[in-house]
Amino acid sequence: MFMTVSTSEKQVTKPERSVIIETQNLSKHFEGLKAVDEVNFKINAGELVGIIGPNGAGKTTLFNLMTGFLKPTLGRIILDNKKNIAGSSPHKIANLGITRTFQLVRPFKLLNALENTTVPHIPKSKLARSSTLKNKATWSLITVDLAEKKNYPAFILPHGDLKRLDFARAMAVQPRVLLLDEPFAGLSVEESFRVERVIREANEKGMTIIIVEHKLKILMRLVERVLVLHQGQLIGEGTPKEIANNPEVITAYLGTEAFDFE
Amino acid sequence: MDWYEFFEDLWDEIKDRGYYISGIALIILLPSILGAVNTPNIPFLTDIYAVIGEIGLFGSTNFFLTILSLCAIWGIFAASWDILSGYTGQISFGHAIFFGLAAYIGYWTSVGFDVDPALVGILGPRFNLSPAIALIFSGFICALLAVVVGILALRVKGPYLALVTLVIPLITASLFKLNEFYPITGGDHGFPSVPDILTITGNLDTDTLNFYIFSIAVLLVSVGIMMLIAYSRYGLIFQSIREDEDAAESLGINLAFYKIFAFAVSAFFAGIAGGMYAQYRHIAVPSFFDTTFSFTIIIMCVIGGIGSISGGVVGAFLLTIMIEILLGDIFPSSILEGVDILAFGLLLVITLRYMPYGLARAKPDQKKAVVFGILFAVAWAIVPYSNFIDYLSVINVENILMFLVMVLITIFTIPAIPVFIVSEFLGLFILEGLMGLTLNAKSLIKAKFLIYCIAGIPFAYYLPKVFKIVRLRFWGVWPSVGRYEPE
Repeated sequence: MFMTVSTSEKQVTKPERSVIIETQNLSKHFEGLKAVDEVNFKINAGELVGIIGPNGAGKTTLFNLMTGFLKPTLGRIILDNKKNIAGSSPHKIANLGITRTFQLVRPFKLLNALENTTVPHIPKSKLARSSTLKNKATWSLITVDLAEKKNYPAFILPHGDLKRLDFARAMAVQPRVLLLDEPFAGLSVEESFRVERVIREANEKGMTIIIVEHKLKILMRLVERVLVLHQGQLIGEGTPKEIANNPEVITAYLGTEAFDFE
Repeated sequence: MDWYEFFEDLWDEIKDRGYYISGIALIILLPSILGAVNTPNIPFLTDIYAVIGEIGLFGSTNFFLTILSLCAIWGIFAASWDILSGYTGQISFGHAIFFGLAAYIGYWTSVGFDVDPALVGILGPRFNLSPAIALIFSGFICALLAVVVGILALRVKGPYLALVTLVIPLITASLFKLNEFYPITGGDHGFPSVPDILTITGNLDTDTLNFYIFSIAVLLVSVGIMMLIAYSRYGLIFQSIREDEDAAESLGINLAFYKIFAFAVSAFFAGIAGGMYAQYRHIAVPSFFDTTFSFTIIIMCVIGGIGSISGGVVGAFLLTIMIEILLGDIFPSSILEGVDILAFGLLLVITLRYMPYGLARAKPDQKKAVVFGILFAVAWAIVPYSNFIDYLSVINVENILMFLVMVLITIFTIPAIPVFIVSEFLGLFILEGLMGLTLNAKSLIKAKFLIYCIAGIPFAYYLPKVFKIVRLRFWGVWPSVGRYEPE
């Protein structure tokens, strides 16, 4: 009897990842305050990257620059090694495949959950039948376990549901790069597990995800690579373990005392 | 699936849209009910109106139809504001710009003007449109202007947009009043004779009826189109822009395009309303740009319900009928100007306190209270003037039905009798004693109707609740219903 040697999925080496988004000397100055100062990094396709840094380090400003809500003072943001998207308007960037969620949940309050997830489907499929749109929107809700609450107006949903609704709405754009701004803020342990699972599933399907987060415990076990921002500058880059042992990062962000994440 | 499920679903659909269907049916059947010339006689309803007409609650048929045409025009205008400000959230305090401009454009194009020699080859020696086409043409010109205003308005948001739009019609009005433009704009007095869309027969009855049919048709078509837009996916995008611009834009929605689209649609229908108003009044004057026009429709929309196209129409009918028919006859014209603003303000405060989303989106019990309160008021205003026994002198189905309806109304509102009597004494004391009005027979019944409405609507709201409490206290569960209702 021949035993066919099946390589388990873990042993398969991942194919060479192409760079999907790259910043070159990206800077944003607010009248002398250097919120983001010459930041250079590359993000590969399919990667799950975390960005950490103390408050005021420029993380949200970086997201605003990457999604077009702010125009950079200097520098370029290059998509797919060819197109410079710095300074284009948010909806154009969204249509190119970069979407974000917001630090505070921003649902369309008077619309119900289903309508909330219908809106992002519309620009992509203008001529689709309304039943198709509805099905797509329902599917977006199913992926985040909100299908049974689809008729609830957003203003009565609890915070955890709203976080997932925000995520579903951003996912419905079918982005290639998803920027999550503090997806775990204000969530209970159980709710964070649900959000974490949803993020993992999205990443396994090949979506590039960048997360800004203060809850290091969750972030460090979730992401492959961490970027550390401090006062607008990139001071560290590496796997979670490297970052945890990087003395510069520890002084800047975690305080002088060493900290064990396990 | 059972065969009758289809009918059950159909009945549910009809029940959900009961107010729309009955409202549209009433609007369409109204000329017949009022007994206007050349209209079929509707047996039961025409008889009821004959009684009301004798008493003069709504004035003569022609007068009432004229007022209803005005209501329809205001309805289109209010709904057009709602699609821009209620749906898209771009608050406009100067919607009268489109209203007034369309009136002028309608005049210019329908009266016609000599074409500049350079353009004779294209347009012919004299440019002239028939009034109906001029109406649509002015709508399109307004939409074009709205695109320009929209592009400017994209730079400002929220209260700043409101301020900008507030100023635009004022500037336009003062430009139109300048002596330099007198040949074009007619100066301070505007133009006295705007061509009517209908050929005038010289018969007042027919003309009134025709204009009513025309304005109601335009109302139904244009509000229908606006509703289609509002309930479509574009309406959903409009609402998402109203709720959160940044979030909408981050989802790939082109803000600039959809804002300008909303401006254009809104301006088109505001233009149609303006053109019709100019034809209704037969004038086009600079006062059409007044802020009064802009704010009246905002109040109508708030009372009817912001963010639902039908709300503006409901508000327009309610307020216009209230001002023109009730207050107009109760109060002398010298103090009417102050009284109607007072009434607007009071209604606005009450609406914002008790039903912030307006009548169209009020809770079902509140809607029922308004409908039944007004029905009670009509019934009780009529009852003292009608003779019950008279209806039975000729025994046929209609008269017996009518008699039964009156008996039913009386039975249902027996608890209201003390409420109505007290409110009547109090109301008439305020009107006649404190305000010093002298009411003749016709204005007395209108005053009573108004007072009954004021007392009847809260009464109709609280009666079922009190009844339920009393029932549970003394009787327990209603025997035949068989289900326990807590509270």
